[in-house]
Amino acid sequence: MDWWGWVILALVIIAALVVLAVVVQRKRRRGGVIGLSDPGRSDSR
Amino acid sequence: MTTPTPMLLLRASELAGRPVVTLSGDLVAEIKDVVFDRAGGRIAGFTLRNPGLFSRARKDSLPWLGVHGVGRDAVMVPDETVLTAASELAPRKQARDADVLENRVLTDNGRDLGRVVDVVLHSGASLDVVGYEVEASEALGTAGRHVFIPLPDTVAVSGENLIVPAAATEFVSEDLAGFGAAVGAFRTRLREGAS
Repeated sequence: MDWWGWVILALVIIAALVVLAVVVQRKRRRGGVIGLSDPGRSDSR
Repeated sequence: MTTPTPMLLLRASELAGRPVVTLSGDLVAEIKDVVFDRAGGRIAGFTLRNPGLFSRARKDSLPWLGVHGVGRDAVMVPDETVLTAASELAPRKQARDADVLENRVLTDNGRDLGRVVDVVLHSGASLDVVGYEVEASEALGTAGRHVFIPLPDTVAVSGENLIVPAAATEFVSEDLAGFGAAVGAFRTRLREGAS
């Protein structure tokens, strides 16, 4: 593989990592709705 | 005859990302997760993350008692002293296992109603869980569409399946605007059935 091949391979890997980071981040930012039987045990309610 | 007060409803997903601001105007954090008490169906508080696109989850959380008000654009707190350790509100391991999004909703007679895509909250003196928005299964006759299923006063959350009374299928709503009336009618039916 000549050096252009390595450049293209590196660009593809970088693009894949960026897409993965965006997907993970979107999922993290979506937040969740957590149902617990005893949330905030230190809470005085 | 009294006119029923319309319910102010919102989706839990609308709260995610909402900034937490002190009454002196300081941006403290953003809402990450909504944490509710599954026995009482009441919001117990919020987990937090730092503001910004690639922000990390914070090690503190906001208990409901520390909330001054939930507005359309921000959650207001008196000051940062109301924040407590995240482990006190929702220990990380428990929180990871107790997210109700993507869980299946089953009736108590064993019909699969669909997959939870959001949770509907009633905003009043407290924030209460009043229903699930689900991607409907074949059992509801609206397969694939998003519909709203009302919940009784006490929410049954256990494991990966969420159990609702079979009567809830008679009060399924296709839009959030009409869902408040459906929740009221459903809960009245349950109370009449119990008495």
